[in-house]
Amino acid sequence: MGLIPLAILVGFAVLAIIFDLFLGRWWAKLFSYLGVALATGAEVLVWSHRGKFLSDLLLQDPVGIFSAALILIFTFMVFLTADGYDLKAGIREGELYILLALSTAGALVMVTTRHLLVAFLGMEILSVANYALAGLRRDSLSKEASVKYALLGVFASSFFVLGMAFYYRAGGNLYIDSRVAANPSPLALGAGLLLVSALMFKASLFPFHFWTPDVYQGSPSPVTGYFSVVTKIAAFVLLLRLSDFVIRPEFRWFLAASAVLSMIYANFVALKQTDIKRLMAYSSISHAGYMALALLLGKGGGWVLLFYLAVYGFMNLGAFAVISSMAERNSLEDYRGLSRLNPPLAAFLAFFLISLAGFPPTAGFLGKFLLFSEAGGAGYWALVVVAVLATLVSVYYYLRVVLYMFMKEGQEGGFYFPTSILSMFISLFFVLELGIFPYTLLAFLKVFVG
Amino acid sequence: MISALIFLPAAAAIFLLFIPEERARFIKGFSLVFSSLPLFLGLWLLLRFDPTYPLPQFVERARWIGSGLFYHVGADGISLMLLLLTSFLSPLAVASSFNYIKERQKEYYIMLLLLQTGMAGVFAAQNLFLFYIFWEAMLIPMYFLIGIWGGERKLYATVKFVLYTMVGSLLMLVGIIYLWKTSPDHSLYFYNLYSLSIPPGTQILLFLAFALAFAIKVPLFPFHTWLPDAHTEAPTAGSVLLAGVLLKMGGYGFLRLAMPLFPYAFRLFLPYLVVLAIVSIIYGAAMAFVQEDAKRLVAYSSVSHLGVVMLGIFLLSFKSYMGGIYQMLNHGLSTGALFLLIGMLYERTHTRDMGKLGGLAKPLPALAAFLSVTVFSSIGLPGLNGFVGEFLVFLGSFQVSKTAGAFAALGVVLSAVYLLWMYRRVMQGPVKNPAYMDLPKMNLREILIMAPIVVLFFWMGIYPKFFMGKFEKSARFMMEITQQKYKIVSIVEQGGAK
Repeated sequence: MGLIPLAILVGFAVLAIIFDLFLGRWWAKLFSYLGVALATGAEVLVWSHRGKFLSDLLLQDPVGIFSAALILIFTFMVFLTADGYDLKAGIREGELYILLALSTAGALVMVTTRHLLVAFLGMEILSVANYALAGLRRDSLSKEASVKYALLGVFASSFFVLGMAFYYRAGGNLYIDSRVAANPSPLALGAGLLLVSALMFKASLFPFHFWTPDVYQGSPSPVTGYFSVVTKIAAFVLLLRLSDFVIRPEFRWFLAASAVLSMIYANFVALKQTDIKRLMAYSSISHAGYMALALLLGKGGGWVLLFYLAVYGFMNLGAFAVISSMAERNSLEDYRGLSRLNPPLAAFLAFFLISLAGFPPTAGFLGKFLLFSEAGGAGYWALVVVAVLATLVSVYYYLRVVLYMFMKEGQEGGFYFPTSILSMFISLFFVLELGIFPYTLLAFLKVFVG
Repeated sequence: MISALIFLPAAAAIFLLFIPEERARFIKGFSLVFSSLPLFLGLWLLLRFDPTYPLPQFVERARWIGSGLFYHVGADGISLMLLLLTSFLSPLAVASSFNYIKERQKEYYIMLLLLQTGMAGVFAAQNLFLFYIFWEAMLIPMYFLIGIWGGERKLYATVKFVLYTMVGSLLMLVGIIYLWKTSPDHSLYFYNLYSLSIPPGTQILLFLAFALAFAIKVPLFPFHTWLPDAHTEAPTAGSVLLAGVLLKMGGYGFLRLAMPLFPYAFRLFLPYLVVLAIVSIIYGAAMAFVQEDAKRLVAYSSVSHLGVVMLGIFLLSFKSYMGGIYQMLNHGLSTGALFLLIGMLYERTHTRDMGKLGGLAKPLPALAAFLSVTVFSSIGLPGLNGFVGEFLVFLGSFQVSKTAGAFAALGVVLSAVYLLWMYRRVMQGPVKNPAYMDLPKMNLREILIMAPIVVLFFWMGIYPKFFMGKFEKSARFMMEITQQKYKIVSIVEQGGAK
């Protein structure tokens, strides 16, 4: 039962590959859409059959099901965004959709297991598909992105494998459980350090963030949106499952330092960016920093982490739906006067950036408010003050994009057609919904994730 | 009822999104109607208001986010007066823009309406979380108003405005989070927080965070530097609302939050705050003297006048406290009117440089008359509203400290000098530019904008009891909480939806 969503997703992806070969791209697209949609439905059905599957290799618990559903919804939105984009950029549609579906399958595996080997398999499925996705545009930037992502990604993978080896030696099996985390031996400590570092790489936390700006800049825009959201969810959920390690005193300061440096470094470097995708890359690093605060709270921070991931996903994908519509004209200069050229597009991007900056009444504000108050409630007041000041810095660069779009005179240029107005509307709806009426979701998360 | 007063303009703004930009006449009319409706709601509330009851009335409460974060609005006397001020100035700001704004009109009126919702929300909010939401949400429309429709240095001014305000308010956010997490019932309801006993060390930190946010907003010297830029570059309506309402939020924040929540820290910092208020009075006046730009002059005069307001509130004698609150209303009206008049002048002459203006009373007699009344109101001529507020502040200040009272009085003398001087340079003497002889006279719309303000100048000056009576009880109550005359018992905020 627990395997059904994954089976649907992979099955339809395989069908998509076959139909793509023989009958054309349109079929690949259809099957990928269908696969993700049906898998989302299956994930909802799995809710009433929560539990362990495949001799405990697969775990469909509330955290897993919620994050899997999030991942599938976000992938669906990336599909919608990619819909108009691929025609313009000359990307082979079939590959884009199939790779996205496969990568999503990897992410699903990562979030619905507590066995390290299975998690590693999921991570590799996700990563290999991602390396290919990054290179889809086939220009030099895109190739560089792909190679850089792959080379550095392999490092992270090898960290993870070595960590698994240590873990096995220390604990005797590969199930994530608190006994190994409490084990004071250097072996267990080394295992934790390696595993957490590998996942911090995927989550693009300082000091493992170096790939992020280049990969984000070079990849096709919808794919960048996908990286910034889905990969991050998978990595953070796995980090949450490893939270017994994370909150060990030896790691606590490491993660806290990483969070602080992610926030400060990324927000300050973002100030100077003139390429919107690089800017969004640094924004994504800084948001990883905010989310790392929730990890410091251990399992108790799960609900706020998942809430923030949901909020972040909607606002970031909304922003990337607009960025994708610009057909890889990513310099800030290209956004000059956009509000005259294409008012809805500019208004959408402004709205999502305002949410990312954390202004009420958007969900970005509520997410930050809850995140910071949970961290504060656990006694991390110094971190909260740093986070708040980092937010202040971020306001400047988010609003700078708004300033270019609304307050500077535009140059000559064409009218861009929004690739996916639907994706933008979905994001808009949820960013407002979660910002103004979050009660249901919060109550759900608090009851089931706690 | 209060919720309708707050959210009607925002609902109208959302509706406007779907109106095509070409239908400018409809957009203007629609915005005017929906920004005035809150005024009628507010007047109706005023009729039903019970001035003998010091706590918030017309309370509306609903379950919202959970864990003590309720939707909770209401109005005591002070809030009600400030809500009325907001609802009164907003339609005037809308009406004053009909000719001034020629580009991107739809977006403009949307932003004005959203701003109105934010401003009203700040004064009506009854818990800190809601207060902060409106406080921050208001920045965005203001950012666009200054940044799109502002003057030459609009980009600089608007970024400076947002960043300055954010510095203060984000630290306040940490304070709010702290209060939320440490208060025993996780309540952020104002009157519950007043009953907390916060240890002195914590009080100092929290007070600094809150006071910084409010001092920037007021603005008190040395946190005032955003103000001349923002005021000067903003379009007329933006300046009117900035000076008329936004600055009041700083004073309101002090008297509603920073002072009563942290009375120990407030006492500790009182001497410094009083000195800052006095420096603001003198400094603002001194800077106003040397301005060539009429709008900038009024901006600096705001710094000076708000210094008087804050002095009155800080000194916590009942007279000065009442005077400070009254003076907030007066300043909102008179400075709003000054900006409106300067905006009308600018629409005609396209300059605010007082060196180039002069003798305009001849071609524009009505405007000159309005300006003179407004200047008299602003400098506190007896019989007009400014006199009542300022006089009460002096009386109260002298009771507490002769020096402080003397400085406050000095501020008024100075303001008489620079404002009258401005009037002389703009309106009297020979007409400097012959082209100015054919300037169009004030039209009916402009007269209708100014007339209600002037009526209020006289009404508030001759019969202040009507207004003061409404907020006297609430003011005394807030003041006594601050003075810790008595500790209020925790009023449990109930979760029942209403």
